Amino acid sequence: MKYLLLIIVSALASQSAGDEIVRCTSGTANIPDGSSAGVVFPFQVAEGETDQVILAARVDLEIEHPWIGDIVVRLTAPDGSVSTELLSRTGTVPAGFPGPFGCGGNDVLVVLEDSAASSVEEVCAIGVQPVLAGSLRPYQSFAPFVGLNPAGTWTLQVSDRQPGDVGQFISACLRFEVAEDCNGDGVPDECTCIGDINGDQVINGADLAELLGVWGSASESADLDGSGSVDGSDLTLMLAGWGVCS
Amino acid sequence: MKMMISQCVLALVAATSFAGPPVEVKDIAAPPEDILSGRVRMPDPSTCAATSCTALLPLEHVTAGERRIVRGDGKALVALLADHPEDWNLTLEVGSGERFIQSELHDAGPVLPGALARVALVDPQATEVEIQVTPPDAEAVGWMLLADGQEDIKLRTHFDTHSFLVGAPVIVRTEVVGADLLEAEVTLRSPTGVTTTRTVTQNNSRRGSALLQADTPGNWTVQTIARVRDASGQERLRTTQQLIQVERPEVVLNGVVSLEQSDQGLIELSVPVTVLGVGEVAETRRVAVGCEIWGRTTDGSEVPVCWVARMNSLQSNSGAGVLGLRCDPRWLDLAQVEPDTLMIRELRIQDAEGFVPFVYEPEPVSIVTGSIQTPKVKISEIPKDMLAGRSGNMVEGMESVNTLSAGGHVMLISHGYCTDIFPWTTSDFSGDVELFIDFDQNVSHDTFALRFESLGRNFKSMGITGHSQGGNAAAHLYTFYWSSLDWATGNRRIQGVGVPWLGTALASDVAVLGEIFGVGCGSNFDLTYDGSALWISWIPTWVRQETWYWTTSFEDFTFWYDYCQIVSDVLLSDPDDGVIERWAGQLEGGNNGGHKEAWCHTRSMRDPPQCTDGSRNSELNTESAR
Repeated sequence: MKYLLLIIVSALASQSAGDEIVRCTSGTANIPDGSSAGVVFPFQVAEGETDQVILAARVDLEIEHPWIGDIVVRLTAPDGSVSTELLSRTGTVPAGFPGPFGCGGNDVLVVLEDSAASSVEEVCAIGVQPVLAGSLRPYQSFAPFVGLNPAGTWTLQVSDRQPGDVGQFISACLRFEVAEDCNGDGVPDECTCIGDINGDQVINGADLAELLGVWGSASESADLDGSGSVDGSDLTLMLAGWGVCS
Repeated sequence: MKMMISQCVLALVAATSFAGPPVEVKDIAAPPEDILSGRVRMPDPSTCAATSCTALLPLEHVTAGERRIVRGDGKALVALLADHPEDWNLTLEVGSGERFIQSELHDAGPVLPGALARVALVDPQATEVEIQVTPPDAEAVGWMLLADGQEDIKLRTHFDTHSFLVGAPVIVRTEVVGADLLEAEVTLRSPTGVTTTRTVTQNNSRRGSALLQADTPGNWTVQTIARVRDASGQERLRTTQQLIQVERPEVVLNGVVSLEQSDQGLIELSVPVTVLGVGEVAETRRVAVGCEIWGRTTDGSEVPVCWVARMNSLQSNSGAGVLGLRCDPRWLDLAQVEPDTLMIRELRIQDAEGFVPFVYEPEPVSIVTGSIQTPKVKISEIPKDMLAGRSGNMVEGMESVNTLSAGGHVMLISHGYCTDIFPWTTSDFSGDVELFIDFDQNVSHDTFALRFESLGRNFKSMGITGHSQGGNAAAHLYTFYWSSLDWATGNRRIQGVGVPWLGTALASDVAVLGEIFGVGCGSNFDLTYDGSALWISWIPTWVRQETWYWTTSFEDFTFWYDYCQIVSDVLLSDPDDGVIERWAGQLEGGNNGGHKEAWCHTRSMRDPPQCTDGSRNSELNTESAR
């Protein structure tokens, strides 16, 4: 099968806003009609830019299309192992409204975020343009991305799955709310519970027993201050955080 | 533009072919103007009268003495309607008996579908004729249609109610115009052919009434035969034929209607009912529920707020049930009424097949109202979602029909009731056009509409152009159900040519004759004057405003005997297209595309069929939404 894969190579605007990483496309693109391949936009987050972890994600999306029920939008993480469908032939139901071909409304001008009150699947209406507007929850949640390191090349694939109506991709911005994660454990550093060696979210006798069991060694798990050996300063750190992790 | 005309043959979709994917019903509403104009109110039965200046009589009546016609100035003819009229002899003896007028065979067309009629026109010079009719054998059955040309003498009959329920009394009221009533009788024929005759009790020299009662559900015919005397002392006969659809009283109101505001802010109306005959009611039985909501303004005036309606499925597995309606609280704000002053009037529950009312409560019903808040956001005009909203409620749809050309935006062109020929000249249409072909069917507007919906599932969107009943079905679909018709864009969502918006007398005439001869597709109450009035009272203005319609009639030569169909012509008031009278083809509040002469309803009529009018078809094609 011959299909068109259009990649707009990182003509991307980039900005940082405090704890937010923002990557935006620039320029419009026709969405190939009736093609599952669609058009793919990469969002580059530099490897060395940050040691961070994603707390939340959102996508600002603008599409001009006369039948948004044709459209599928998929966001995929850099290693390709995690992806989520933000729009998935919106409104497609085997029976009832909007119908088997999905929502027939025009255009998308939306902020997709998990915290929105309504879902993209709940707002289809006749005679409203853009039919998807404002803040809406995506078809699938951004949750699978939470805890990932944002570095790498993200892809946003926009496809039109039903031949007949054609439209245009206008713009998208990918926004990650992030936090520092120097140890790369997928947990924001401020949330790391120093002294909780066994990871049960409580610093107690079990942790103390583990620390004392490797006293004097170079055990990484018990070398809480990273000094190269388990010693009195590690014990002091543990006792300082004694109790339930906060 | 892509050329795509395809046919979808629904021949296998028989009347029992429900069990398709469910169809979402609309929460429909109409503004106070529709209430005050009476557009969405139960029609007054007296406005649905059958009016006749002819007599349709069983042969026995003629052979027993009704052989003489004294001619008036109008169209006069004698027609024999029989199984094989070609085997009969029919002539008219004029004046002294010296002159005989031979009869000719004509297609009986819409009056007796698929059959011939032996017709004798009465010479304009003849003042009096005697009918000579000879059957081929003693077993032959025939009916005579006598039109004496005295068109100012009419018999008018109507019912006093539209609640045609088993065991419920129905009064037939008769009125003679232009003459005195001498005597009259009413014959009620049951669905199984059992007849009961009642003498009309005269109220005065022109009016009378008779009491009827039907004891089984189904389609009954009512024929009134009146002997009248005109100003010159001449006796004449007039008959009317009417069809009524009798239902079991399957739904009764049972309790207080409650109004509660949902979490989404909408006002939910719960109408408690008892479904009688549990186990006998079909799972697919649907009823239309509607009511007017009124309230009081701060100065104490009672004002209409809105009319709301919804198609509901009857729950046949339980005697008790609740039928739902929904009102957008923005209506209260527009009407400037307080929520605690609301009233429910004109509560109606009507069968979807025929719209016979099970429940009709014109006066305010008892209600209990919860806490209702009007919205903080004020509106100055009515948005579309206040007129047609998502209900989330489903009714069973028709079996799916697949097409070769799915997914597009199409213009659906459809035939009407009981035809075996596609009426439109398909070469007049181009672009994405789909044909709805479901030949030889006799279905209600509701079933017809759900068949449109079924076909429409194949397309993103469709506009519908319907001939005859196809126009009614399109308006019905747009009113009650969400479908691909709602997604159509373009100039005209619904177009109809020769649509019986207000019914046709022939629906009743066919029913009377069809019972005898068993021809055609059967009787259809939705197409009668009464059935049409009941149905159209559910079609709000916003649907009509998206509907364009055209009427036609025979070419009028003034000095000639003009007609589209020689037999149906005398059963209909001029001008007519052979099936639909011009007045009955009007949709109040719709877009009248105009009236054209020299075009008739279907083929085999004197002038060309209206659906072959190339100039109109070109316009329909160009202007149709898709």
